[in-house]
Amino acid sequence: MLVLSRKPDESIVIGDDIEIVVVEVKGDQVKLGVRAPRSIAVHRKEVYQAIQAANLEASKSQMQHLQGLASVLRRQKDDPPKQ
Amino acid sequence: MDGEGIVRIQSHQFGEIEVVQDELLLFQEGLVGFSHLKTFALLESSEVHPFVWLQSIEDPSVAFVIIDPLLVVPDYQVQVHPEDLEGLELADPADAKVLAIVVVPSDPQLATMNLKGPLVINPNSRRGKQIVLADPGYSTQHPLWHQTARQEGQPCSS
Repeated sequence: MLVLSRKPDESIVIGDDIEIVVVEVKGDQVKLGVRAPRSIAVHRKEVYQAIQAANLEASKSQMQHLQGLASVLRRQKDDPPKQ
Repeated sequence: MDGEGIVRIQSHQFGEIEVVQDELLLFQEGLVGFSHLKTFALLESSEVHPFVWLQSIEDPSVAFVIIDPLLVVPDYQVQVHPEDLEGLELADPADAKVLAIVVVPSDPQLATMNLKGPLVINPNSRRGKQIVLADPGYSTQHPLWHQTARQEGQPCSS
């Protein structure tokens, strides 16, 4: 991995059209700004991985299980639990 | 694909299905982790209502279950930057339809839906996109059932 030292307000560029700016450094937290074309998705890694994992898990859903779930949901909608 | 714009695929879950090409949904960027899959068909049926299957056309083995999240979380709100919706060709953001991907385990009580990464669809242009919400209050694994309903409702038979 390429490691570069930067100070606040300094930046790095990746290719022709991506720039990452160090906006602020405070204690153990760094605020970064990303300038990139809108077609490039930028996410916090842990959020991206969580969504990726959820999609992967969801792709395993089975018809037989969904039929059971759908009937439970329809029953609950028709006759919601009293609270 | 034949001359009449009908797409036939041999889906793993439903056998051979035919869909009208004009009704397919195009996810230009794919779904997160499935960026190679861009074309999907919505398969509705009374036996799985109010859920709908989102069947990949490119990979017949991949199908997702989706639901209108408002049926479960009536105050669910999707706040996005206009550029997040670029590519959907939305004339009016109010036209957008928001759907959540559901994880359907063998025990229906454990079903969850992804409120952090909803699908936004423009029904007019038939383009869709999975977006990532900044709101930390929404989870990728939101239970379909309220906590109280799970504790006091139908107990899990063990």
